[in-house]
Amino acid sequence: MGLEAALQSIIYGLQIGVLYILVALGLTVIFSMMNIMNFAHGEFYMLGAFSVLYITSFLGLNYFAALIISILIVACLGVILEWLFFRRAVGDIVGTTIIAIGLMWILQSSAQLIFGTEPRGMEEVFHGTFTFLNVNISASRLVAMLICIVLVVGVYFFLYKTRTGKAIQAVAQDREAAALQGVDINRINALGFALGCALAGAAGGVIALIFSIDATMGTEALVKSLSVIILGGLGSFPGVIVGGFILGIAESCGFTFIGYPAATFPFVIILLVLVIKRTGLMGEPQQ
Amino acid sequence: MKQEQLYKIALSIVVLLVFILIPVFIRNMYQIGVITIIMVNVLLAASLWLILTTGQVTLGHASFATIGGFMSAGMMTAYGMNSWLSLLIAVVTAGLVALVLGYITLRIKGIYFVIATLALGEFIKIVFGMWEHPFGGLAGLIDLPPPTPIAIPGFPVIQFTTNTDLYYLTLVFVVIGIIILYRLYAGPIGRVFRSIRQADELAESVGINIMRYKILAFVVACMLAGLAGVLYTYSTKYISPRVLGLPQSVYYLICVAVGGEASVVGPILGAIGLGVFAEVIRPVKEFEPIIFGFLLIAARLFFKSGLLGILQKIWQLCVQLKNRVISEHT
Repeated sequence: MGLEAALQSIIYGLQIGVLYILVALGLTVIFSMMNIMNFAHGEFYMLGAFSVLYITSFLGLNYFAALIISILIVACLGVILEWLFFRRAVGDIVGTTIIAIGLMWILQSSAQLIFGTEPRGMEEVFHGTFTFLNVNISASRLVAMLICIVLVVGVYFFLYKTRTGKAIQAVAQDREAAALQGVDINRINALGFALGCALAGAAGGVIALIFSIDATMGTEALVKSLSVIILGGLGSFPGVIVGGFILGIAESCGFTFIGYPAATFPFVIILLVLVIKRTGLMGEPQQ
Repeated sequence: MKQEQLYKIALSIVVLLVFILIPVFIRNMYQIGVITIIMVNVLLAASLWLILTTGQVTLGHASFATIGGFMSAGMMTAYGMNSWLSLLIAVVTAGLVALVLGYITLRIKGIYFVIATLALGEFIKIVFGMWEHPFGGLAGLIDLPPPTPIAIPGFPVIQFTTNTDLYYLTLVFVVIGIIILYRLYAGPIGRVFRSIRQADELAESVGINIMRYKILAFVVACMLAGLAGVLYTYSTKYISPRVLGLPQSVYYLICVAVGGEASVVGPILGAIGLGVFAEVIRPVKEFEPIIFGFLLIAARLFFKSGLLGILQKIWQLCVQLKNRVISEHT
């Protein structure tokens, strides 16, 4: 019995872990490129969820089409906001932090105004449940997990194999040197910001398959992904993967075996990492 | 220079008198309640400002008010404790939490502190939500008793039952808090804060232990936030894990950004200005957070000196005008 519950929790943990990875990956791309900790990141996640909900229910589109359109909407919003606000304050940590906080506040309260404060659920898109080794997983969760894996692998391929992805990494490593090599910094920044927001939006669109959504869901997602990137090491791409799986499995097992107190894990992880090894599991050593 | 200081003192006394006389002119109890909450926000914004002067942004300031409010309310309702003792416990608890969190996060440069304070907010919400006794769990504590009356032999007993009593009580604590913040910032310690903000590596290289000063600012500010939380519960007779959350923490940041960061007067101006502004735009209240969010960004991008800077400009213009008039007459 205990073993089955544990296995079930681990499967759920893996599934929720990939989702955390997706959100946290977006945050890391933006942070490592522009040195901006985008506190509005959770709101892009929330917007992704709501636009999938609205597109499927009002336009009656197929879920996958809705997901792609939502990702594009969120990415465009990201580009516009980067151009309007963040570009003016790049390099000023307090400035960009305050701008991000302002955007978080604006987006969240606009969403409460437009979408209401009640939690909303999407109609079930994928029916059925699979059973494997006495472990149940619903079709929705399975599809959610597969979409996340495809996107994470896709982003890795993009960042490490394509020319543009390498330009993004170059900017992340050293802005000036990248500019001297002929990388158009502003264009790459806008692209990176769009990519980061798109990942958050995608994760939101996926979560709408499984859980009910509401206008303030962004804060929780933000805290979790911050915890993931601190655990993995600030600015480290492989760290995000490791951190996401650890938080996902820890939370899932925690909820099964100790219940509600497991909700404090993100905060506890942040403090523990900062006390024990501040660079996280895979972060670059700091001077 | 001497004259300027005299002006400052005179102006502070006039402003204080205005605040003391407010209940004489405003008899509406609802409005007195609103003004009391604005005063609580003044203390929160001013204490947040002290943290900002060391170059740190916090997203958990309201959490410390929550800690203070819950400690005081819990001790009073569950154990019937004297309210002044529970106030002391509340302030000390807020200070201890700040000390631990600050010690862990402030020794590391960069973004960690903001992240930890943000996460603290979520953590506090969950912890108090689970804690049924004596903090009432998710529902929080309602119908809180008023503060214990003060009986000084030979004087009439001071009760704290009406909104006017609570307003004066709040005013006294807020003024004490602001004096502490002002003295701290004007003195040698404040000079260190400013040097940390402008060039922390340089400050460190001349032998200043930056971390100690950052923690000092953080702990003092959070103790005052705890105090503000207690005052908040006195006035609203209610506390729950959700009333003072991330939106409030952001609100105090907006107060400082709109008021200006150059001195403690900035956050005071900002909190009062925004409080009055919020009452003015009450008919379109649902848009209030959106307007405030844009105010925060606009203040940061275009008016870094805030309302305080605008007032200083006007003052300078007046002085110039006066000098010109004098020189024309001679």
